[in-house]
Amino acid sequence: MPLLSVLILQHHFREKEVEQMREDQDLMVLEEGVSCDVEMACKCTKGPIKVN
Amino acid sequence: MAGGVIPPRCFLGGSGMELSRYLKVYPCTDKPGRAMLLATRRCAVLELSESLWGRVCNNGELSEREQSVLADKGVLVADAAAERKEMLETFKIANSRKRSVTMLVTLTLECNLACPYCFEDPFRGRFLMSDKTAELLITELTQKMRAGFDVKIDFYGGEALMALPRLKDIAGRLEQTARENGVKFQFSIITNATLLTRKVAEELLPLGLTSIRTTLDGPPDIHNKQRPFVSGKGSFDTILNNIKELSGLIPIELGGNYTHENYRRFPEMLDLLIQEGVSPETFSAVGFFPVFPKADGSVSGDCNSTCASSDEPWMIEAGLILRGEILRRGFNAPKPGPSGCMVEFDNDFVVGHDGKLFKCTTFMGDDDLCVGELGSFVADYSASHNRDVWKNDECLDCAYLPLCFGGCRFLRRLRTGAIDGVDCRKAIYDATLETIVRQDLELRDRA
Repeated sequence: MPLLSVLILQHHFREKEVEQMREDQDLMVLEEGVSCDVEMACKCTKGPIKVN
Repeated sequence: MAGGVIPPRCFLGGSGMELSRYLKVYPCTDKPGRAMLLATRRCAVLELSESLWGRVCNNGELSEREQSVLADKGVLVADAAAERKEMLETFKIANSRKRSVTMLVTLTLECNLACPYCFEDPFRGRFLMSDKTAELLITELTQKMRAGFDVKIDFYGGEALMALPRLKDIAGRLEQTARENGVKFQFSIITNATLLTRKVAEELLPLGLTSIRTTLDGPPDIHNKQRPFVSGKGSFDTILNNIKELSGLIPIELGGNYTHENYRRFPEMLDLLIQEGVSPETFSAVGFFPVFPKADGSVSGDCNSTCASSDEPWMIEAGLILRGEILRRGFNAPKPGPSGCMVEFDNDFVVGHDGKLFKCTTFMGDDDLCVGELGSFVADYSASHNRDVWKNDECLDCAYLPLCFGGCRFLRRLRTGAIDGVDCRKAIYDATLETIVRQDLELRDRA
């Protein structure tokens, strides 16, 4: 492949990488979360009621 | 920055999607220009830039990735009105999908401790589950297993291990039935752990024991006052020795009951556990909770700082401080997640020692809230337990609904004498949820 094509491709991919990095920083997932399935909330011991 | 404010029903023309109602937005005060989102249906947490949040709120264009991530985590939905309707069906769907039965089985109301705050005080005594009741329980659960349901039992008391032969009999027979029917049987024990030696645990493991839940009420001087043996002797050392013996053998969930006067000293107990060689990994979860009034609403003489609601200012402060101290020491604390009262789950019951069925341990002893008996039909308890109490506009539009679903029926009854409305959690979530999320991000061991 001609050197110029290689340079153009490198530039193109670097731009893509920069764009991806900017997008990644724009939106970060800090906690994936859980499924929407509900669980039983209250697991009682003899003293308190567990209220979450 | 629009931190903390969600625009009214926002249609995202660019993406063709809408913002979910079940979403909280918190400004990142330490990172100007950024916000944190909590999508409460999944409890997913995202951080995003001001420019992206602006595009989300102002009908701007979103990239394929942005749209996909925001939809996957529950921030964007195809149709917000449809999502609201879907919430109404939450438990109908959960019940239709659920292929397991959970029973909280009271083996005895006898206990070897005499905790002054015990909410069973108004109805405890030497009441043991009879042979006949145990047979009815086994028959009922066998039928469920033959129908393809997995069975989970939480053995409960009094002190469940004061009825150890009964526990072994029930668990042994159900474990065998489960194997014959190709379903799962497992059980946990809610126990004060004074009788749970390593030998006892090793006998129970092959029968399906998967976890225990026990209690330490702070450092020894507080615990021994709040959880003495019937003789008056303190129980801390006995429990600590058993926890040491059980460490690594079985997951332990640790609870503790604090008052306004003593909650600040609970971290001392965690430090003591570590000093005694009990590592944080011994416990699957640790959570401390305030002492509530007894089942009949009365309060013991020496525990007068109990709560009839969960949003008293000191409780909010205590809960957050203790959760932070738990995580800071490397113990696990439960994360918030979608959850509802047992009232919502068709197949799950509290079984009294006499075979009566209830939807909450705190309702035992109150025949008005008995919903049936083993071997008999279950009455329609929709009205008596106000099953649809949260199905109103205020709750359905509340971002906290997936975490709350009307709150605790017991607490509502304590306050008003009846389950005549929701136990609204908005104030407590407003005051705590952001901190809880940040605690999880900053203090939880991410190794």
